[in-house]
Amino acid sequence: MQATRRFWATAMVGVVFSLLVLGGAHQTALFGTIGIGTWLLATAWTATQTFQRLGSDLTVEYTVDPPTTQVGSSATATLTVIRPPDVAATPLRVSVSLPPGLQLGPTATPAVTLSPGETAETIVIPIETTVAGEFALPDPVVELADRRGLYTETLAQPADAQVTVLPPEPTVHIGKGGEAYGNAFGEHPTDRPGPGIAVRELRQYLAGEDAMNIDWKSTARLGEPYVRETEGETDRHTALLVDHRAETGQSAGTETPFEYIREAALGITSGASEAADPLSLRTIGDNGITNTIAPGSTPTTYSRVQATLLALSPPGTAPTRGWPQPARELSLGDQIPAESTFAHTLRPYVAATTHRIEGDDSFVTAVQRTRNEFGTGAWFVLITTDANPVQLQESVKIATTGGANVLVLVVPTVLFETEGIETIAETYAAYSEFEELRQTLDAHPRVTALELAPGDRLQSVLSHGRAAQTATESN
Amino acid sequence: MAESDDTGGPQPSERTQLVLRRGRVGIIGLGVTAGLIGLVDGLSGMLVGAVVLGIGLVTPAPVAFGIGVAGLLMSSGLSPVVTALSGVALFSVLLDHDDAPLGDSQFLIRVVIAASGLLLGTGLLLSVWSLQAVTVAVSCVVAFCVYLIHRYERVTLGLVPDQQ
Repeated sequence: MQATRRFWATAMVGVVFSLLVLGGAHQTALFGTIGIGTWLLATAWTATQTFQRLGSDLTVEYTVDPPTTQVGSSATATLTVIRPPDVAATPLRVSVSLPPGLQLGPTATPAVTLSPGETAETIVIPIETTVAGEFALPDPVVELADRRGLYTETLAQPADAQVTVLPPEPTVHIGKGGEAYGNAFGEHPTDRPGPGIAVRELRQYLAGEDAMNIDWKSTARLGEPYVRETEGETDRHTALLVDHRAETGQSAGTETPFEYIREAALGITSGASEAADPLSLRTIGDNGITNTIAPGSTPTTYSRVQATLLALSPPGTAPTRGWPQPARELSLGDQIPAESTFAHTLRPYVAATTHRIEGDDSFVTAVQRTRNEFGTGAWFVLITTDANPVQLQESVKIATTGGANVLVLVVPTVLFETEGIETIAETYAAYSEFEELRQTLDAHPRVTALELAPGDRLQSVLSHGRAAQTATESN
Repeated sequence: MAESDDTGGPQPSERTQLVLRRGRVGIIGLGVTAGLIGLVDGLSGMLVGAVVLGIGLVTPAPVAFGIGVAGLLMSSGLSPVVTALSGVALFSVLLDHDDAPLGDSQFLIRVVIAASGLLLGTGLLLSVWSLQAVTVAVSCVVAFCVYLIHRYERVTLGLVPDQQ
């Protein structure tokens, strides 16, 4: 309970009367001291009772709609304040604030004020989202005052209002050679007919088959013995390996390969959740596995995987080992005079490095460890870029060892680079190299290799490249 | 007083015109006090009484009470009986509120309890202590009790963190 200026002014009146008694022995002034003291005690007592009643009887509802939105989309927070009529004699104000990353709309007034006599009010606060993340809104602050203006109190009313702001969804293309591939993830047939629940087909009985498989209702209806074949439904463990090494964050534009990697991983997660398939997650950084989620088919598992993916991000800098040297720096290195201190110092930094990393590659190592852990019973889903094609081929080879099936989603980094790629023709040529790599991976009978790319950018490159090819051929 | 609205609160409104702040009981109490002062002290007393009445009608209760006591102090020749009658009349100003004849009943009870306690204690102490010592004691008791109420309020509302 805080005293206001009015309280202190009143108290000073009492002090003045006390000083008059002390200085002039005026008994009447003592009466003034007693009167002011009585007033302060009674009002303090009354204010305490009022604040206690309001603290227990006040209802504050604070919700955000929608609870999940995207960057750039708006949301609204609704603040409702209700109090009983018997504690409505005092003024009351409830204010809210937003955490960093969220902003109030231009016309927002983030407070509800109840005048004496008012018992309820609701306001809608527009919120603008500029940053992705999960935000817990601070609890509303209730400011109380007694009816005589002598005391105030401030309380925090728990509300537990939260909003999740998702990053903007890029236009994700998943396909082969620019053509969309519509069955990357979802329900999965087992190719193993037999006992099960879902009916696969109704066919005529063949001599020698087990008579217990005959469907007698269909036989009676059709006059000949028929067998109803069902699909054997199984749970497929999806082992998701997501690359978030430094090269996944490299981009000359606003979008990075990692955004597409994450969207694909979220799609895989969604598909596994809908099919109730067991799902595990391994995220791979420059120094190895950064997150591990054991296989599970519970809503908790899927939520954890989703939350981990949303919180994932590549580091700010690229690794120093095995990073391809841009052609410009290589040509500059050749122009440095051979015999000079400058050349001697600079040459190690502009010398061409091999793409093969000596020693352990974190992605290959992670795939190896995951393969050893899950064996051949899992469906491996690798989501990465083509920045290290040799390690990528090695990873796929390890994953398929023993008969496991593998889905590889590869982001062509050429679509995110403009340095060294001066014309669209060069981009198309580099994309063609990527497509060769993808086809090489896809040629394996147990591997499905798909491109994961920004659809509009890819179509632009392909259309220009094919038009150039057509023009060349016609000439 | 800076605030013109007796209720105060988070957003007090500014008023440029005088507002009658006393109810019927308060007006009667001020009238009795002003009348007694005027009767005893003649013309000067009537002037003081008019000032007490005028200011007391439009100012917050503690200000009106303080003005009334100041008026009594300025008056010479008031008998103890007249002083006591004026004091009782001035107490009605503390009880009264501009929107209720005698405030709410609970507040009335609290005022009576507080006044009774302070008056009884003062009377007992005056029999053994000097006026000045009793004044200091009364002031300290009031300050201490207000502080106790403040701490009690914070504890019951859960605003005091647990000591670790």
